[in-house]
Amino acid sequence: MDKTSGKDRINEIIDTIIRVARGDYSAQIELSGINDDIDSLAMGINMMINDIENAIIKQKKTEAEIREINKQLQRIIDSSPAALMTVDIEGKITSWSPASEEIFGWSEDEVIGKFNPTVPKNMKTVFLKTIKGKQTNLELKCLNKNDSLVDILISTVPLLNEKGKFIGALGVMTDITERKKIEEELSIKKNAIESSFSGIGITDLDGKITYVNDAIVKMCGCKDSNEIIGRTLQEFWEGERIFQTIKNLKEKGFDKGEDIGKRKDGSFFNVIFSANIIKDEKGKSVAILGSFMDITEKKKAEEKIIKQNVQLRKLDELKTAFLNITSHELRTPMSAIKGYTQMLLKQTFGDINVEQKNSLDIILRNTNRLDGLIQDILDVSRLESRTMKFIPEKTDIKKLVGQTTETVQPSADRKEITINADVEEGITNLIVDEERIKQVMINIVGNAIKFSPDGSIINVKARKEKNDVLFEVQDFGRGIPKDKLDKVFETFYQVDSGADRKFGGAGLGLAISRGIVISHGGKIWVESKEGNGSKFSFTLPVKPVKNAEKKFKTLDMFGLDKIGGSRND
Amino acid sequence: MTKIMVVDDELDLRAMVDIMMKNEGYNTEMAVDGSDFLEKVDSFNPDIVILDVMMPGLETEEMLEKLKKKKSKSKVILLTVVRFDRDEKRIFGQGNVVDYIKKPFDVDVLMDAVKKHKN
Repeated sequence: MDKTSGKDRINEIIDTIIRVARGDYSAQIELSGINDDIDSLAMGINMMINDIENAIIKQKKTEAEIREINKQLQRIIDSSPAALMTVDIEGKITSWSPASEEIFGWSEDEVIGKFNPTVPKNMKTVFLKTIKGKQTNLELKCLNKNDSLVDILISTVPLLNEKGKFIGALGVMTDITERKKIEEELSIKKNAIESSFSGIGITDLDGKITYVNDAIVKMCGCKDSNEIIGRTLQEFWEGERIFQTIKNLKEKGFDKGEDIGKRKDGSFFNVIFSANIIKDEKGKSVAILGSFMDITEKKKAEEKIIKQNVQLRKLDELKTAFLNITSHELRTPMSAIKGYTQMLLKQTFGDINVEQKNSLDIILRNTNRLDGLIQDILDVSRLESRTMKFIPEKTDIKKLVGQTTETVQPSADRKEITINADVEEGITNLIVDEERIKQVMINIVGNAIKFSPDGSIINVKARKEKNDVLFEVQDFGRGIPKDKLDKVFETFYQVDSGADRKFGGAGLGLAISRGIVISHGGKIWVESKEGNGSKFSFTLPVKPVKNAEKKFKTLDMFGLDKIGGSRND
Repeated sequence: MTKIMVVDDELDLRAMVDIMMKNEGYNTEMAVDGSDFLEKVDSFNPDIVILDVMMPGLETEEMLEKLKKKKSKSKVILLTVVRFDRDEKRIFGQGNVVDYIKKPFDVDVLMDAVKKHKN
């Protein structure tokens, strides 16, 4: 090459430019040293080549740095305990941390390049707006892989490229489902306390009221809790009990009782309360919780009932006393009538003729009937007032059944009725009032005889059944209509009011029997089919009851309370 | 002859028992109440006392107590309208009481009791 040839020098410049254009930034134009215009041009081009080379090196360095930053960002995303994701401008996921997978269920592979699947359909527009906006914190309900909603707190940061152009957003997400749940629970609890019918209040340790619910506001005759909060407990408490309460709270940490509260207008109300010290997490006493119930109305009602009860009891005592005296007074003349009639019949005062004997028999029979009635009325009054005296004794059941059949035998014989007694061999003795239980047996068997046709049979059975002895009296009489089965044990009840004339009796026997059986802790019931006889049964516990006379409820005598009336109760 | 003392405030009953006893050939004495009884009991010295429990004035228990203190050998049959439980029977039975008869009673029951206890 001729360094002086202009044509050659131009060609070299062109070659060098071509080399640079091909990427060889080390290319330089050799100067001729002539210092002419061509050299000036070559120098200029050489400087330009250097500038280009420097710029390219710088750019490459920047690119490497950005790559490094991106790598670091990815590392951060991958290893972050926080759930992170980045999205591009269209909302497609560009990165997804393992913690995000934990919250939402999708793995990185499932979401990368796809539109953010956690965004519910109706939130798409809002989401796209949000990622393009400024840095924000949002509470959102997002979808998880199971298509259910989770509460998420999301902080978004817009991502910009080196030229400051928006290219997407970074989201940091926290699962606040649990927190939300706790918040909701707290809110429910708060509402519960607020709307509770019990008055609930909190004071500080000096008794200054810091919180009251609506019930307390009402209780104190106020309209708003502000009328109470800030004041002291003593201003709304009339009774002396408060000093005891303060003492108990100090010593035991709690107290409960009944006292008198004071309303805003100065009137009083009865209140039951409980109070206890509330401690903070470290166990330090911080406040006093009180729960109050206005019992003014209840108290008034109670006092009324107590008054009525006293009156009723007095009335009851009076009635019992009246009946007792009446019965005693009735039985003295009865003794005289009976005694003299019997003496006349025994011809103590001389011979009597048949008509006289018949008449005296009628007098005696009716005297006995009247005496029975007086005894029954007395028994009813005793059962009613729970003053029937029971004298428990060891009782041989076989003997008891034997004595019963012996007693009723004359009336059975009159109707040629056969009584079959069947007592289980080796049956246990009972501790009962023998005379009273015999009264029950005689009553039931007597009834059976009364309502049995002539020449029929009556089965009397006794056997042990579990913890009881079961007695059964089966007749083959006319039976009891189904709708009247429950009523036969009621005082003064007659199955058939017409039967009363034919069969006699005031309808007290079964009511008394029931009272005696229940008083012994047993049960009595009847099964019957009309026209097919009746079976009366009762049980007596093998283990004797204590305070037998207290066991029987007053109402029972009137049949108002069916407990023990039938076995199915 | 067996001596029977009848203690009852009711004249008709007293007379009735008196007739019954006399009819059986017993020697009888009447008392209208507790103090009357205590006055007469020493001189009459009855084998059997038929005593009505429900009498005004002196309590039956007190009467029996005094009878016991006198070391009387008279046997007492109580006429009563109430049932005695074991404790009450024990209290009465400590003394001279030998039987209890519920009012109104059958003539035969009282007669049988007297026959049973007269010796």
